Amino acid sequence: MPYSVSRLLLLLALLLPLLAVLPSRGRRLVLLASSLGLYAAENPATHFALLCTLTLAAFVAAQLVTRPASPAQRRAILAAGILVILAPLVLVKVASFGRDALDSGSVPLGLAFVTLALTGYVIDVFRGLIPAQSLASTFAFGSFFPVIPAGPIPRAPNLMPQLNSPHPLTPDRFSQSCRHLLWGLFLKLVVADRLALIIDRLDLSATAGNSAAVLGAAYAYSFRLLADFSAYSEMAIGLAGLCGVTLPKNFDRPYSSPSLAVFWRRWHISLSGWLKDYVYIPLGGSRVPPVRRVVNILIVFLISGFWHGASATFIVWGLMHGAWLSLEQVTRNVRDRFLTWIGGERIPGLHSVLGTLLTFHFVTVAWVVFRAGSIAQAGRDLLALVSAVGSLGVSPHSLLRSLSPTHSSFVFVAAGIGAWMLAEWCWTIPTVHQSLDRVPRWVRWAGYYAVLLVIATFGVYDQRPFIYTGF
Amino acid sequence: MSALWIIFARLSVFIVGWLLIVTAIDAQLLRNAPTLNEVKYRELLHPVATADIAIFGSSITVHGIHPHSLASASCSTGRIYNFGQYGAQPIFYRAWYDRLFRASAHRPQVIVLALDYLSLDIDWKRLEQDAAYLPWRTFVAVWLNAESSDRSMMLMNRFRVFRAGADILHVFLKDDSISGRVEDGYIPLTGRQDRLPPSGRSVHMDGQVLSALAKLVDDIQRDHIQVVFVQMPVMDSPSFPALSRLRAIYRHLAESRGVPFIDFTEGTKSLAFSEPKLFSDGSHLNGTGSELLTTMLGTALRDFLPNKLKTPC
Repeated sequence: MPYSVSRLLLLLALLLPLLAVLPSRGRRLVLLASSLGLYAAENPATHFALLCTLTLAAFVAAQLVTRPASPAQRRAILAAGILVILAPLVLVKVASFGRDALDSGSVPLGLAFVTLALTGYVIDVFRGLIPAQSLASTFAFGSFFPVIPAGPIPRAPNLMPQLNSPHPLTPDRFSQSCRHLLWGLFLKLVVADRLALIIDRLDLSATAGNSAAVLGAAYAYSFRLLADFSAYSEMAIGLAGLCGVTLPKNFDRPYSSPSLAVFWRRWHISLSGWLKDYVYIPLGGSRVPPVRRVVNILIVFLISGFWHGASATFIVWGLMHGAWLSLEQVTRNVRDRFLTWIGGERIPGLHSVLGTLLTFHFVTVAWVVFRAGSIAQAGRDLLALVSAVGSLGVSPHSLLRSLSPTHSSFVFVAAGIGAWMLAEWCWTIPTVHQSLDRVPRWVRWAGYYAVLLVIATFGVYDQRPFIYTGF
Repeated sequence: MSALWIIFARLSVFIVGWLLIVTAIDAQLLRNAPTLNEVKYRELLHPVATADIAIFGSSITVHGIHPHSLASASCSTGRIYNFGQYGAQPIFYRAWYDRLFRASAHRPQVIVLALDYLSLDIDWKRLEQDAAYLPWRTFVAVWLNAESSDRSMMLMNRFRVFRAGADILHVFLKDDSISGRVEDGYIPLTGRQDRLPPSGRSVHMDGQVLSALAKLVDDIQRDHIQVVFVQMPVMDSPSFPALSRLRAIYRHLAESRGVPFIDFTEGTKSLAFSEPKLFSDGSHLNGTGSELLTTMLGTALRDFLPNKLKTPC
């Protein structure tokens, strides 16, 4: 976690007994105090002050937009409120322009996530989806410690009622939450951080001109990013569960998406949902002429790129996704007719398999730009990738040679990814969750011990930060 | 309240179960698959070889000096043990010597400090990393003096299950442990890795490490033990510009402390190691190379051994 582990464990040791015994109002106050206390203890005073200011601005804006006034006045208040809330994020991002894209520098922890959450809250109040909340509730929402560092981006209609009246901690809730935490630890320590070691090694080989290593690093980064971000989301869901709050999932097997549109419904679901509800639909969504729709998509992905960082690489990454998604939308009929013409519909699943492969590879290429420190670097990496794919020298043998000093690491991480994909597939079977609760406790505990043992033995403990906490 | 008790009881049972599993696996691992470090710590804490001549150095020494051959080549009656450890440098050896070696039951008459081109680099290894092998009393003393960031690492390292990696599979697959391949602390290397000679790399010379080396020599001499410096050979040494600076530093330190200095990176000794076939990679000698080095070292070392360790050749 981006928090100090000892401080977080101490907090949980104090918090959980209180959440189990206190009445609803007491639980709410304890949660609020914990969130604010943890943020204040872990961050500089200026960052804490910024968090408080943003929350206060959202509280004032929400109160003002619900006051009786003409629609034009209410819209003006809403616009002013959104501007005030967005200003620090925009200023911080613009100030960091030109720095290494993934160098988070002194960006306050979770600023990008808190900003979107509070903006969404004010808009939801304006739309009448939720009544304006008290100051304490707004602070509890804006500072909820599991989601602040890297999401999932909370939505007020879902989170605020739960924060106002958190569920009591029951043995079942405790077990389910610990399962999420355990799974998050596995993804982070066994898959993501071990992949990071392999990527470091491949980057060295790539610098020395090994084209196979460039290709290997691109694939490895794809899985590392998903594992790293999923790990955080799982841990956030687990921590929130312990606090009596149920969060929606943030990832749903995105790399098995048959199209980029589906990918964005499964990757960072809370961000894509936010952009859809608060940007894409207000712009007209899909109910506009094709050209306007393409423009809307490009605007959404431009904002998505900028949200990740005011760097040319993120902007280009966003535009790449926007352009590809537009192309998918515009050519949908043509592609369907072509598939019918070649008789592809007679082979079940062909369309889906080809679409999945194409989408995964497009996303992987786009991550190369996302990961690069600068546009020039991204250009060099993409050229190396093209030459790697085009070169006959790329073979499993040359890839393994570039991995040789980390060969055992490669085997462990391949096994880890295999287990991860299998588990993700199992979760899609609706009865699995109920079945898991019905198996004898000793079988479940044996499973937990096995996962813990795998984490202890094959985990990498070099304390790499979560990638998305840098945004 | 009852929910809290159920959670507390289950969590307690789960944690106790986990501790039992960790301890059991750890005990099994420690018994069946000792690491190189463990073999060396066993010799240090429960000496069997009871060495008269001890060798300190890094992995270059572990794979470079064969004690058995050194005894023959130097016509020595003394027992020799190679205490070299991967990544070990003067800062590590100073703490190791002070806290463990000095207190051990057996004290050698000669210590060979094998130096290499990375010996003055920033500290690669610290005693805290070997928390698993320290006696409890030393562990607690080191833990109390460690920086807070090192304390959790020490606790993790104390239980081998947390860093066993492939070892744990070897235990279950009944694979060979390292102890069968270690002879008096030495491991011959076979095969060749595709690596470049180190001559192109820049060498960082850290003042703190140099100071630790000087203090280590002082500590050993204060215990009336003869110190000998050995500069280990480097592949392609004539084209390694940093070597002349390193050599000057080692020579100055040796002269100021009255320590003999045997240098395999200059003159005819370096020429003998210009052949890449003697190296497993750019830095480490292979079995053939280490035999050549050990023979040459034995001849040179003989001049500095106490008379009671010498026999006619």
